[in-house]
Amino acid sequence: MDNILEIDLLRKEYKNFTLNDVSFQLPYGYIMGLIGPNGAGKTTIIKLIMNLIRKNDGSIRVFGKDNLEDEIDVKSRIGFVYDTPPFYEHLTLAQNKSIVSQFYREWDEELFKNYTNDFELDLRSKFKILSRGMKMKFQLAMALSHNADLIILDEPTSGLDPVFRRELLNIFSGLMQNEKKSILFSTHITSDLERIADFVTFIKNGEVVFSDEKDSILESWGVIKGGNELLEEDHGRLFRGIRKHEYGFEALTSDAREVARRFKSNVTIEKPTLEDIMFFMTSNNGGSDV
Amino acid sequence: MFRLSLKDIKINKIAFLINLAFWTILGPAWLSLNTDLYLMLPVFFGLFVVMIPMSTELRDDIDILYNSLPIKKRTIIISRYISSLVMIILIYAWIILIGFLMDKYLTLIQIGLAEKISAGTILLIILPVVLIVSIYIPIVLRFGFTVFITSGVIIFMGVFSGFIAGISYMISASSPVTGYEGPGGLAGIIGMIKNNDLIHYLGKAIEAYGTWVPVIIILFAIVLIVFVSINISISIYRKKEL
Repeated sequence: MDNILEIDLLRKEYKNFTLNDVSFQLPYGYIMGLIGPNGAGKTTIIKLIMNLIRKNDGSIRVFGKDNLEDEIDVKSRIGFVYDTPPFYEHLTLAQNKSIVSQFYREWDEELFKNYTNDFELDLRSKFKILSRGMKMKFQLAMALSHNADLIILDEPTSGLDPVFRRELLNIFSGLMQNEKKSILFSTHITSDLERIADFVTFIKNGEVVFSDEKDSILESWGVIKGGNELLEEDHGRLFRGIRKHEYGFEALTSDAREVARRFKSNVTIEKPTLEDIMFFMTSNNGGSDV
Repeated sequence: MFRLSLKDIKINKIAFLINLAFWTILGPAWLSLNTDLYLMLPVFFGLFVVMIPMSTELRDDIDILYNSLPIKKRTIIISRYISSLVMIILIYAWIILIGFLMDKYLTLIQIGLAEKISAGTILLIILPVVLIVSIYIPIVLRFGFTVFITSGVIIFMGVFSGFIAGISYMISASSPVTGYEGPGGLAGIIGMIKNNDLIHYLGKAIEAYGTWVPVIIILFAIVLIVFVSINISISIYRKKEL
């Protein structure tokens, strides 16, 4: 499988935070969700891909090219949607568009008009008077109108109403009709990813906890519920993010089959949601063996 | 690069037009004071032309926008210099044009601008503008918004103080070096006054080597200042974390 994005041993050091040897790949034609709690390093990874910050080590290859050596070529094929839409507040949407569009050889004015019509954007409006949702729609229209092959979105749905979030996800699904396009989508609203993501990469404290196909994750992982006596045996390493209470415990396992084989009817195993996984993994002992 | 520069000028056309309007309307008032002041004040106002776009861009996180576009960081920086210098020089050109028109059509105020302006003095007018832009842009890039405001005020006040000092010094000044008696001070140093020490030296250089030598020296100084400043700015910008 050819990869549109390959990140290898990426490292970025700050005073109080280190993105530590992050590696993952996104194949052509798929959507990857980048999940993790606030401050996990999702935005740092995206900023490193876009060369908004400088890496300490590691490599980032986009379309098979180094993101720094072939920066212009790489960026001309990326549609970028940032958490806080960065446009001139005092200018109209049309003025902002004309500033940005001239830098893309592949800019498609017809496509842009279609998106602005679909999103009900008035190009005569000043950017500063738009709501967050409308600003995000405008940014999205800009990112999608130059036939980008890779769309990178940093928390695009946070702060948006459910109706528009659903609309946005439909747009992403529509884009994926083209097998050459891919989307990297950072969010902490995991329900969005369950609808559209093919791959999920979970980041915690600057490290990749897992990066795999979503269906495979949801199939192999499970939420375990059982009596506290089970924890006393040496089965702890199967459980992550254990939550004890008076009548038993709840935990996450990355190997639901093995748990079912060992504990048979002594435990109940439920299929997890991505939110369950994120919740248990970010608990105090989440991700570590017990 | 030129598209980016043109973009800067377009975006800041209102600030630019306000500057032009200011000089068109208030020109006669300044002219009635002194020609030299009239030519010096654009340094003061030209600073706004650099400050306004940079403050807007800092406020709106525009660096993130440009750095996500297929543009090199070097191009972003060079275009900033080009647009700032072009705007300030255009304002100067406008002021000189207004001055000439007033000399020609107004009888009440006659400043004799044609006698006071030469290729050398125009270059000496450009020199402090280049200096201001070249100092200011790296400071803003390196230290961000807070220092940007503070340094803006300091540079602003520095120019203003120089301007006041220039006025008082122009009343009476003398040079033990050249034996010159008359106007001098900061206004003289930056080339607004034709009879200061620097102009004397330039005059002697012109006599000795011809007009082109001092002109080339000033041009070289301008290019060198801009070149050094651009490279410092690019180096700062490449390390900048957005």
